[in-house]
Amino acid sequence: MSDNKKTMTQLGLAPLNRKAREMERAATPEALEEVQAMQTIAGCTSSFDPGWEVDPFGGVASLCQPMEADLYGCADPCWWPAQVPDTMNTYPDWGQGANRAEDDWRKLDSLDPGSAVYPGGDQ
Amino acid sequence: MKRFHLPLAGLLALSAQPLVVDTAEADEPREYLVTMAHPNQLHVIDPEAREIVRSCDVAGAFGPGTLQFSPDNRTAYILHNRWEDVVGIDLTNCEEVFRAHGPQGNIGAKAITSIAVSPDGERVYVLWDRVEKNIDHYRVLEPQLAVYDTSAGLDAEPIATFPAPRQVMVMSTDADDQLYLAGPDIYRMDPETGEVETAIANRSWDDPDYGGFDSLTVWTMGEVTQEFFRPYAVAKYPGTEDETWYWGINRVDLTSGETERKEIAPFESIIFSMVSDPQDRDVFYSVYNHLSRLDSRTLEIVDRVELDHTYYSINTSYDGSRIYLGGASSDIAIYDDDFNDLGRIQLPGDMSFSTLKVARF
Repeated sequence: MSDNKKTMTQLGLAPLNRKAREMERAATPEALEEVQAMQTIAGCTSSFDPGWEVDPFGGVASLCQPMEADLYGCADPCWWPAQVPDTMNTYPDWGQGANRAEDDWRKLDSLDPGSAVYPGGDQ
Repeated sequence: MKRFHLPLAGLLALSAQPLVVDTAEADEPREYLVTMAHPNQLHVIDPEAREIVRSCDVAGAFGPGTLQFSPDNRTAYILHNRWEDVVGIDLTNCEEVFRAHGPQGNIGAKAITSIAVSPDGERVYVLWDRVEKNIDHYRVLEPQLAVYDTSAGLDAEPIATFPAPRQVMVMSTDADDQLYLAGPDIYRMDPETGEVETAIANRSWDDPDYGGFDSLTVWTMGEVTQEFFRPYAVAKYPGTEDETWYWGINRVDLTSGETERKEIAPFESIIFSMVSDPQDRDVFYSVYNHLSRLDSRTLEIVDRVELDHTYYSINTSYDGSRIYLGGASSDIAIYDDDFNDLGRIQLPGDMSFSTLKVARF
């Protein structure tokens, strides 16, 4: 069985919060993979916290607001590497020249993880 | 010549007055807010005047901006340079007085907000999460608690290292130089011997009436009340019709080493950090998208105001009359203890998730 087909318990992980328990209770391995698609663990993080897209209550009121207030708080600690570039290891210069995210958010470009190209910056 | 004496005497008398006042004020410690912000600046802020007093450029890249103070509060020790350096900065003149680099050769090391200073100010403790980087594979190593002599200068090496528990984030020392580490449980380590024991059980808390404890703690507040905090969320009577969710607090009194774990309020919204009221240790202030006052005696959220944006890090003045919010975006908010909005202090850079600390010197 590949690791993708194992339950969290089989992987030696214990669910601690409601969302993690929902994952554990997923009806089929396929359904579990649907959940993981929104919760991909990649790069340097192993966070199981509720995602960038939805809060632990299933809504959006408890997400960081506005998202610009949270950009560097997610990029610098590699908290959501799938959603926000990881400045700890992979894209250290992503925030260069954009010291205040609330003013400079237009300078914080999207990235192509496959080519590791900085749009408008060095390759 | 004589006619000049009186005006001169008068001028001297006038000029002497402010000197006397200045001397008296100089004896009285002043309160400052201290935080790190992008791109690499340490800011010392006067909360009364609501202005930046001093901005220190700290060599190296930002991250994570976790701060601890020397006992006299005049030196800030910062985790910096993409989590790989610990740097001491004199807050009175921006001079760099200490630096140590975690990685060594092919051993990578990052400190995930784990820094503390001994009560005599002679040692700084850093927990390094380490990995051996080989040509064809990485090997995760045991975390290491490194002890540094704060007088070792700008290329400091550890004077002792000890194996340390995994998944540790914030740390603090008590008056007896016992080190508290917030990991799956709250651990107590003797930094003389490296001996570790559980001070407060969380993951190892064995009570069927409780579910698993869920914690997030990357901000090293508690200097105002001499306490070490880690909030947690937990379900009581999990899986039953009485299942109820609470916010709780792990707390160590750093003057006595006394520990406490208790539920303090219903789990109704997200909290990123909390501190106790300096005037009443059973009352807590918390922050995220709201500023809240929690009364642990009645398990109630007593007051709550919505904030203009998310703030991560909360602190208070020493007299408890003002509440400071920072640690996200680029402004520090000040509220009084009736939750009246007293204004904002704008910073030139984003705080990311730096700690907002209160210094007195």
